[in-house]
Amino acid sequence: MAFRKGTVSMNDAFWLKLRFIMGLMGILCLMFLFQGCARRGTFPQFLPVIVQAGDTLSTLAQKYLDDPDKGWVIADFNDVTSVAAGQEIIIPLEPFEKGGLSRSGYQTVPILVYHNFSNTRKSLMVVRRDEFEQQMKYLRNNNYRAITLDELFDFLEFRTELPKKAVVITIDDGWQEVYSIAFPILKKYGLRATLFVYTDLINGSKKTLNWEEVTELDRGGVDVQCHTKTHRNLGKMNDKESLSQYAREVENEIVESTRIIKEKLHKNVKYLAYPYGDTNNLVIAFLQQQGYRGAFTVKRAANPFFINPYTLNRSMVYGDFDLHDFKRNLKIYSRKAIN
Amino acid sequence: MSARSTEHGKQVRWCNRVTTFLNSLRIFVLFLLFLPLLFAGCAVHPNLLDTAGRDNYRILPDKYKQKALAYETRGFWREAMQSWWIVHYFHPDDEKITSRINTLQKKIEVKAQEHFNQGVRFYQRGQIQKARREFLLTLAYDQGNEQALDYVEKKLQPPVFRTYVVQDGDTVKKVAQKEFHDSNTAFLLKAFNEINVTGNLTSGTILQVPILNIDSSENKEIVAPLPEYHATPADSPGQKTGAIAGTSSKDHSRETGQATVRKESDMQIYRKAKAYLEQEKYKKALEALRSLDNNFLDVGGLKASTEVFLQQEADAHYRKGISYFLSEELAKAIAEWEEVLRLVPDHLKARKDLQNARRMQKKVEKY
Repeated sequence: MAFRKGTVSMNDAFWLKLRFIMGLMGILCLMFLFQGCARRGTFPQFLPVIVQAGDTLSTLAQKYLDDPDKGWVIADFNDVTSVAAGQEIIIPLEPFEKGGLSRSGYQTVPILVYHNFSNTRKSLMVVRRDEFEQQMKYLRNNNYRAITLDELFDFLEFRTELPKKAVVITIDDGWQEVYSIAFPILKKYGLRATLFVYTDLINGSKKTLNWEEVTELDRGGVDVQCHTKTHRNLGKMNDKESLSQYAREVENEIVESTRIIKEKLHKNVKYLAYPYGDTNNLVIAFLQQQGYRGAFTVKRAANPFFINPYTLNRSMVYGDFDLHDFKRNLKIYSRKAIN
Repeated sequence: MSARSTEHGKQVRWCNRVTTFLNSLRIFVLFLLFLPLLFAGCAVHPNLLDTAGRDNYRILPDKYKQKALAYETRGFWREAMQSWWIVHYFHPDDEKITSRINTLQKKIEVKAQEHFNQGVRFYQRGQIQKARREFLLTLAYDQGNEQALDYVEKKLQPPVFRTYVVQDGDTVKKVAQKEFHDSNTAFLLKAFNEINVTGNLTSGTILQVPILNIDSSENKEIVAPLPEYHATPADSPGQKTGAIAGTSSKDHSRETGQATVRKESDMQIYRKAKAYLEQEKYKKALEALRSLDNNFLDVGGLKASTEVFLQQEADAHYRKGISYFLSEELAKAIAEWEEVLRLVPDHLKARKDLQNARRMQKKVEKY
């Protein structure tokens, strides 16, 4: 027995040593890992770079931030609108002003709402083609950036900053003209938008969108989200309804439309625009239960990061707005809550 | 025996070696797995390690030094510190900068803590606006302050739920009755809490109960209809016209001949409605659609969407009226509310506000 034991330890000494060395390497590796992370937390949040010939904000963003659309991060931090060869710039590698908040004020994000468009006629809910184009052109030429709702919510959750001139473009309901009039203009000016559809409106009528068009919009930079099933006012209980009937109706409006959009577009719906902008706690409770990240009213105001995500403000763009009226709805900064 | 035991010993030895080898291998593989993480996830960017490159920057070091100083004088300490860190990168051995960063760091911590404590005091007194201001200032100094963020994002938001502690003998139905005065709403409790199918509750369990704040539609008896807006035939609200059309349709269907005539005229009305929609004359389109049966072609869908459209248009005018009213432009407010009633004759809020505005206008004219 003793002989056997001795042999085992003698012959295995090499293996044990190897094992020990390997273990040590593993531990060293872990230590490195933690040290690396610790360093990241203190300094390397920025990267100085000398712009080379051929570099643009977009190529720099691709190279250093892994996202060509993040050129605005470099532009905003360095307070420039473009870069030239030989220029010295700083590339922030981490959020440098979450929520757009500083000691003196905070960013607010305007969210615009459109409903319908027309080539000729206009009313409050119908914006004429040429005027819509003028408004979009204004946004583009003045360096406004149309952001997505996902980007907006990262800002609302105080995870990141947004472009200083961030704006959200939304369209409600699902009329045909969204596809025939608004979509080409949005594409022309490179502006992303969100379409809130009420699923009963997508019914095969010539006046409204069909699901093929909705799918094309969704893939073409117009994020499709929920505007309930029938466009009933979720916030109000009808005279003839009991509380339980009302609650079931509200639940059904949300669950059904969410299901239909998911089925047609193969994606999860995360945001809802309240019909008539109206809501209450019960509606919000159902939205939270259904995994909604937030929802939108039509209160005319811009949104700071600390707004309640289930009662976000949106400003309606009426058909009788001139460019001056339009601009008044683009408030991107406020001091109110901090002074 | 001894030969067999040596044989056995050899086997054990080999087994041990193999396991030890496998163990080493496993750890080595783990090491290999971590290796890319080391470089990709946490590694400092290659340029940062390249200390030689620092001397190539002629503008940035001084620019950020000036920025840092300017931020400091204005009291923007977080921003000042960010700028000092950039300066520090170019002058890593300058101890003045390092100590400046350390001093700022401490000042920031103190200031953030002061604002946070003040915020908590306001919050405890129920002064929400003031509390929010303090927590925002905390975050302005210290972006990473999770506690302040929790106040701003959660505690300061109006609550959607309140808690209910289950008492002895409670069932879901009983709680629904107690909380909502309606035992049929038990499903609401089930929707927002994990309650088993039987609906039995264990005393002491905490339930999330939505705080109801539902608006019910206006009580129609409160508002007397305005003489100006008594429904004229063209203006009559939908249900009435619909009902009339419904009965007349039934009457006609008694005689097949007339029913055919009726069908044709339905088609004509339908075409007219579509034409109105084409011309974006929504109100006329709706009047035509309302005289048709919901099941006729796509009348149901068209009617519903047109109603929604008009209602939204009317609401927009209503809101505009409100803002004119608030800025004391009575005539404009009245014009907007009249437009509301033209679009949706039974818009009760507009009717009420219009009545009120007209009365005020008369008073203004008198004095």
